[in-house]
Amino acid sequence: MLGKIAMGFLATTAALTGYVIQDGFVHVSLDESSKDGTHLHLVVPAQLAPLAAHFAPPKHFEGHERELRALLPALKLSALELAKLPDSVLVEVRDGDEHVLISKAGDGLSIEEDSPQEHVKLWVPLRAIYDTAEVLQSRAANGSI
Amino acid sequence: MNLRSTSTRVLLGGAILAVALLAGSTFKAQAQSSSGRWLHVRVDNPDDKGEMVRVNVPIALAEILVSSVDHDQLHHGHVNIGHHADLNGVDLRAMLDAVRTAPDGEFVSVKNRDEDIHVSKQNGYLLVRVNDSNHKGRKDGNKESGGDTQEVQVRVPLSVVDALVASSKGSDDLDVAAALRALATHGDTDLVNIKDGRQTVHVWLDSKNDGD
Repeated sequence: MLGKIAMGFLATTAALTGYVIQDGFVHVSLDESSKDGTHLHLVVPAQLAPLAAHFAPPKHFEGHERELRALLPALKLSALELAKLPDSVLVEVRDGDEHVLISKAGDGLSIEEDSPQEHVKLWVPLRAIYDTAEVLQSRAANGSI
Repeated sequence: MNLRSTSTRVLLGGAILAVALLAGSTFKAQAQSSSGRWLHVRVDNPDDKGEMVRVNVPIALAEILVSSVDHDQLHHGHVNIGHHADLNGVDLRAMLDAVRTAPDGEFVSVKNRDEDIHVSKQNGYLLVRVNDSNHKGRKDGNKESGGDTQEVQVRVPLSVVDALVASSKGSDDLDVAAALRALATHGDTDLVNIKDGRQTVHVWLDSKNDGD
């Protein structure tokens, strides 16, 4: 009896571990240069993004329904297509002291912004982008946003 | 299989973990080759705080984006140029049709004190060359002042022009997705080169993902 319970627990834990590992984590890093500036470093399971999209109140999307319907399919397909690419710089902008870099890195999309005031870095798994877009698209289709 | 055995349970647990890890491999890094065609844009403006813009986009991704967006004038790969179609009296679509069907040669040649403009068709390309030796003077409203020279070179494969108009849905429609597909079949080529004083714009197509 205890063996069966242990087997069930092991199987569930393994499945959840695999699920988290396969979907990855969102990495957020913010360092402000000022004396009392914010220094924030987060590592968040990527599944939270589509979950947040599922439960976000409709008011956050008010006024943007048309853009969402128009652009979400492109976002999903872009995530799938980006997954096929090697690591690449997609967009780089340098303007004086400011530098923005958007690149495909590993299984995710990396966005970095450097300026004298702050350094921001965001890495999002492509799977999270796809899942979040799919949730929003589903909500847009059934009228909940 | 004896499930009471510790070794069997460990093996089974490992198998479950392996299946869970392997599932959903769609978004794992796949092909590492960059054998697809890439469109690169590079803008350098050392005069304006050292501004630099670099864009590297695989043509396949650009085609997917253009084909899947339905917004404003862009509808699933087709751009409606409706109210722009005349362009101050010029019918853009008719002009493109005429270029497509014309034999190789120079269509436009304008040369005056400050400008030298040539539009021609040659070896499967539409070529536009502009040299404006008083570009800055004209921008500042002073036609007489000596200004920075602007040099523009545009080289568009005619198959792209063909694709832009051939399968479009009407006189106000351009098939941008088809044009991108046509562009992807071409070898490495420069598309646009602009030199305006110290500012440069370069658009080109190759199979590298880094644009360097």
